[in-house]
Amino acid sequence: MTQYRIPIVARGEVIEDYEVTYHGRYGADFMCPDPNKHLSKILLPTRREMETLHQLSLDDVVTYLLELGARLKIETNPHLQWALELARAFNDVPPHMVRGAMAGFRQRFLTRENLEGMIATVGREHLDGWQRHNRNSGRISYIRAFGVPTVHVIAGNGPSVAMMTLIRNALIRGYAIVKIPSNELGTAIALARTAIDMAPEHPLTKAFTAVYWRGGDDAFESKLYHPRNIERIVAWGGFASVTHIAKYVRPGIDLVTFDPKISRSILGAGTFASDEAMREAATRLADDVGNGNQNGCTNCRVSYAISDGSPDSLERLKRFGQMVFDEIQRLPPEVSSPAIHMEPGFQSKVAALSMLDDEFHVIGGDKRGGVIISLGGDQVDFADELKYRTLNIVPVKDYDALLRFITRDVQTVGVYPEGVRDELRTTLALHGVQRITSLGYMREYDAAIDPHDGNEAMRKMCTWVVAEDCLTNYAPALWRKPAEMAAT
Amino acid sequence: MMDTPIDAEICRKYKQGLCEEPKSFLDYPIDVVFSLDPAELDEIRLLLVRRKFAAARESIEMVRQLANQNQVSAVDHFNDLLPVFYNQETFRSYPQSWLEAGDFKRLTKWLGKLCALDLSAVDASSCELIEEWIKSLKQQTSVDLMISASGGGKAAFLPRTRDEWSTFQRAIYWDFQSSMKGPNGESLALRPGIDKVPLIYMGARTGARSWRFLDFYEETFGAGLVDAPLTYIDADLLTLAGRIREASKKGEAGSLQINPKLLARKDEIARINAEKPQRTEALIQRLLHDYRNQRVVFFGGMQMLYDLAMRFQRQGVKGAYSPDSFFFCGGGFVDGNQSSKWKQDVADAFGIPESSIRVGYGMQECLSGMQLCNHGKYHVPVTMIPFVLDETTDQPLPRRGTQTGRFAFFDLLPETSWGGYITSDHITLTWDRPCDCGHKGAYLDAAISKVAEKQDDKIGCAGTAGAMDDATDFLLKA
Repeated sequence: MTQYRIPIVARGEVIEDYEVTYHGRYGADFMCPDPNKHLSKILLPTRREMETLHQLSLDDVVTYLLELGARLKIETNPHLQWALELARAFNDVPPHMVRGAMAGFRQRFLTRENLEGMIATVGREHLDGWQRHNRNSGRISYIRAFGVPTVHVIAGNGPSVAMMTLIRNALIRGYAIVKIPSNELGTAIALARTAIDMAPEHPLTKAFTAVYWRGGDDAFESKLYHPRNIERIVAWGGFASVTHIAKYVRPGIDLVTFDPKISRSILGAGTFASDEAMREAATRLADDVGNGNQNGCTNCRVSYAISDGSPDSLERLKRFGQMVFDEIQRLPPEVSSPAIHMEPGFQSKVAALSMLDDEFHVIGGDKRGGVIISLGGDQVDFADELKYRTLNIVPVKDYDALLRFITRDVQTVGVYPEGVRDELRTTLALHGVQRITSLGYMREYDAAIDPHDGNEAMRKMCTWVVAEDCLTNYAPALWRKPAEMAAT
Repeated sequence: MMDTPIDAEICRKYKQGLCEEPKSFLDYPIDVVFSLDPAELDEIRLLLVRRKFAAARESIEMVRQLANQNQVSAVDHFNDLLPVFYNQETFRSYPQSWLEAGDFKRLTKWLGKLCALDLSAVDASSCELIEEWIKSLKQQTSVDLMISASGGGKAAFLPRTRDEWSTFQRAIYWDFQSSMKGPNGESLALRPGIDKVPLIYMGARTGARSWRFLDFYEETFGAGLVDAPLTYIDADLLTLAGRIREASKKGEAGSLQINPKLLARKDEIARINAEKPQRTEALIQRLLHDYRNQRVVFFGGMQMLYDLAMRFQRQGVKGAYSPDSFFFCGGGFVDGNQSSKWKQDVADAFGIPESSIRVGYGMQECLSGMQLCNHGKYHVPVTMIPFVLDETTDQPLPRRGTQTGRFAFFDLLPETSWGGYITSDHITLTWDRPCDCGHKGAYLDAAISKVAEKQDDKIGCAGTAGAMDDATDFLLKA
């Protein structure tokens, strides 16, 4: 059995004394240096280290990132090749999809236009110096957004989270300690090592640390998560992982969470008005369901379809379900493929519904994926855990009926036809939805620039500091003599 | 160690009986039962499981469905059957909304698909609560429904028949009697009609969580012998935590409407809850005083047993019971760590030899259990075909050497329900190295944990935040 070795990259230094073995997924093991031994290298020795970072201009940062992007070609970058190999052993996402995501790093994230777009979400004026605001009282407030020492507990369902974290951290000039997930062990390390090859002494290279420790390792985490060391935790993950991290949150440590989410779609009455519309909606929906093998939060898992519940309407829905299923089978292999292995628990849930054919109409339900039509109008109990390209279509008589199912766990709602968005966006937002988009575009979420799960992510990652000038314009104060005030 | 040779004729009869009727092993002593050559036993098991599968494909719709979906038509090797196995999801694969709406007609239809019984004639129309459904099924069919709601998830329903429960009780009884041996190997099995030994059970006497063996024990040895501190455990309340969780996932659509009938029992449930600590304490007082120097049989969790012994120790009680008492436990220690001298502490407090502390492993999904042998191994019952699966791919690991992974089995004992089951237990199984106790066949190591606990710390972006309220609080506030 191959034994994989995951170094710690701490402030520009690659640490390789592998001592601890972890049992990873699919029977593969990996070895890491003991993070406890290297904690002093992982932490900033002094806050003065932040000074060089904040002496960089945004133009310096953009230049650095563009150069880094030029080095992220898989064919010539041994670190990315290594990360791909790790994804093959430890990730659920098929390797060709991980490769596709990595190959897109430069085009998707590291162009000048994209970086400027990200900068604009905070405002160049706040990132590149102190922005002046004249207040009514006479006070002049200079505001600047600072990146601070931050632990990023990132998600590992694909390599892009590591890339996005590096860029966000560089643009706000923070100090990032990335806790690598066990299902995506390679990308953060590969990016850090590419940066070392490019500019070993650059402050930004030294501001991106990547390390694996077993999440929940109290001995290490209780030392790390201290306000003396870090000011913020950016945590991706669900109830268990965030609850666990939350116990370290105290005055002095701020928590930013990106919860796991699920996404759904709404098929307005127009969808079923003609065969043509049905075909188009089916093609678009198939991509929303199957692209990336339904591993992501943006993938569609449930579709609410307007239906009067009549036998005719339900027959039409069954036909539509078959179309979606067929279109899923036609998705190009580089974006979607049948399951290699199906969890028995999932299979028996679908099998049970197949047998309840008065209430559920199941198409497929095997490694090819499936469409479950809830003839009775109630979504399946495992709606949030649908996978292997399995869609639940729920007939609803009107929009009110579907709103009952919407919670803040729903990130994206794809709509068809387009008019549904304008009609429902405010209502959906008030029910907790964070993004409404055209059917067929659910997977095209640009959370680097658009609000991320309801957050202005980069703004939230910054510490906003105000420097006040109260004298130039003579702001009032208790100690000031009225005469002096009057004289001005 | 077996020191007496086994009569060849008896052995032949036993084998022949096993081929015809798996539960016939209960008529033989344990040393005969575990004397079969493993290869020979596997031949018998293969014969039996083929018969079970052929029958189930005709009579159990879920089995037919899984077999079709996975293109399983014949069983050449044990592993061929794995895709048709049930798992913990199978017994809760009904739509939750049916339970909330009290649609027990549909639930009965679903239940009927999991087993070979025809439940189509059952009239469940008047049922509003799970408790009433359980009663209706009992009155109108041979089903004595098992409910489990561990971990606060959706409730699972196992359609077991009275006959199957009776086999279950006989298997426990067989295990129980086989393992009651004195320090020199002499049998201390209880004699019906002669021995009147109190059975202390640290749980509920009746209701959803009660243990059916308690009735059997009283029927066999005499009424009034069972002492269990808790009264009725209500199936509807037991499932409430899971129902709240399911409901919260659905937004407003899942707003839980607690059945007025359950709500009406609010005060009673609050009282039962409040009384729990006193009732347990009262039993402990009886154990400390009333049962002193008597012969007792105890069933409870390992942690419970240890805590009890520590309590005795603190109160300066040593050698509390007659030395021919037996303490049966299972379930392991809460934090997974056990003191190396836990058995000694327990034995000292209760005045029994360490060999009278019997550790068992079993589950509701299987009709026979296992007892640790004196060499610390769980011997797989002859009527159980074991499997070890890779924990990430669920693929079977080789049936040789020692393998560690997820435990799965086919139980040959059930008549109407399906025997194939994938557990959530992480085990180590040795296929082909004989145990020093002399019993033949595969065995499990004593250390058993949950697979889920061993999963890694991967994080993905898809899912929901999920949070759960305490069921009783929820009900009491309602």
